[in-house]
Amino acid sequence: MRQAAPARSRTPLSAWLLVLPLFLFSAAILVVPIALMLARSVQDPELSLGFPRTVVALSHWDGQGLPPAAAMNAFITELQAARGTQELSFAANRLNAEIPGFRSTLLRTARALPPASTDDPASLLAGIDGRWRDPATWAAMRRAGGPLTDAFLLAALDLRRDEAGAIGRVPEERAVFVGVLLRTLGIAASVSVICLLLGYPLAYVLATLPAKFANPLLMLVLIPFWTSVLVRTTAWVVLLQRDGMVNTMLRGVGLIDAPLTLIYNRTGVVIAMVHVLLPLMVLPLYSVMKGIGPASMRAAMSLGARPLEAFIRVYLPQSAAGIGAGCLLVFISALGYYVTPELVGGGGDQMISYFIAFYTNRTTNWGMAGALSLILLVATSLLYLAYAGVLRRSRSAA
Amino acid sequence: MVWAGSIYAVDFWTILRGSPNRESATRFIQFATRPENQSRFPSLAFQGATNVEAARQADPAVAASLPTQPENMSVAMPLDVEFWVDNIEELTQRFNAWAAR
Repeated sequence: MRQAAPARSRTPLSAWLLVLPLFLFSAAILVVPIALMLARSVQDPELSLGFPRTVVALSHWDGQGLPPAAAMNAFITELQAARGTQELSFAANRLNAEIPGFRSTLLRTARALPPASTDDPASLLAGIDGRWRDPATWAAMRRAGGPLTDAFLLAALDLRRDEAGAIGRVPEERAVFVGVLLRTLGIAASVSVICLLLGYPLAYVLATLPAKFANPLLMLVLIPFWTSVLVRTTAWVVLLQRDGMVNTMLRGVGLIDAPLTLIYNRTGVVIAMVHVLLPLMVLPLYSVMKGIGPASMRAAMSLGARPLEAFIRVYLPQSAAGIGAGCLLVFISALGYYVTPELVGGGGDQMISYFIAFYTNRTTNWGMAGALSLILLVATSLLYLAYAGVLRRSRSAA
Repeated sequence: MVWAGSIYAVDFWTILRGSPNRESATRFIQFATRPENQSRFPSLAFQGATNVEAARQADPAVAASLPTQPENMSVAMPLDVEFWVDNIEELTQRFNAWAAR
């Protein structure tokens, strides 16, 4: 670090100015939106936007029985004012995440409320929708009062707070996200290992062949790399389906009698993801292997090493940087995969991005989307730090 | 074709508030939903017609397999959009917890 400092201070101002557009561009379209999205995972503004007085009144309620009439009257007044506004639909959407069906309860109540105020708000509300008789409904509103919440992050780990505020696990029939995170890590790890096993020999061949053979072969790696992920994934649907080319061919040569189930399951996801991500493994390996040169292997063998020993003790350590870079690229790209599992996977093969997209686009529950993104980001960062630590230790050992 | 317990959904034409071509859009919707125009649709797309008169005028060759045929419609039920908006998050979670088993 200390040696680098003088070199950095000599960087002319013009160089910084040239980087400035890129810096502003990535800040505006990448850093700021991601930060805002991640912040959504702990923010809970919807209810306090349209119902500020209700939120305050409910925060004084002890949670025993129904809330006092004053709190209910504040709610009725604010609900009347919110009719037809965006704030009402935001609040309805937010409350529906607490109790399924709360959305239509709130909207129905808003439509049915008489304009005049009343001395008996409890029976007025209960007359419109029986849910208002249930203290759990009001407890859900109190939980959603914001401005900050840990509900989304807990839910993203299959946890929740009960009525008393203690953290516990969600019922097993709804516990899905821990399994999905482990599944995401597992798919990414198996795809990385298969890519390494397939890509290493290919990169070795490419790096050792004379250029006139290696360059056309390299094009075969690059052309898929330049082709859209969507196109390549859709092509696998054609190849792997029940009466697709792979099954027809295997049956034609008599290897199988009944068609194999190769798609809409884990097999299809892994096959398609390995194919899509293989160039990300081959290219770093190739560039590292290109720099190794044949001399060290020849030297090892001339000193009496068998080919396998020479490979393991001389070639493999020199290509370790390529293995690390390739595995890291494939693994981290695989963690965020969305299109491929969506198209060739089944219900049990969806990765965490599927749920982020689901909450972002389908139900606009951005708190959940932000929480799942944060969990994925933290898990990825921890793995990256672990990798960097292993790398540093192996460098200092060598 | 089993019609008992089938679910049908009705699609909508929408004109956004403040749309600059509101007049033309209204005229188009009027044109597209006229019986003589909608009744040609089922033979091309095998979908029912929302205009009752159009459903009646549909090509008899395809009418029996249309969801808007009265005897098919009477045993079907409409898609409950409100139910799905209310419950899709919980049901998606439960489906995925089940599918992972």
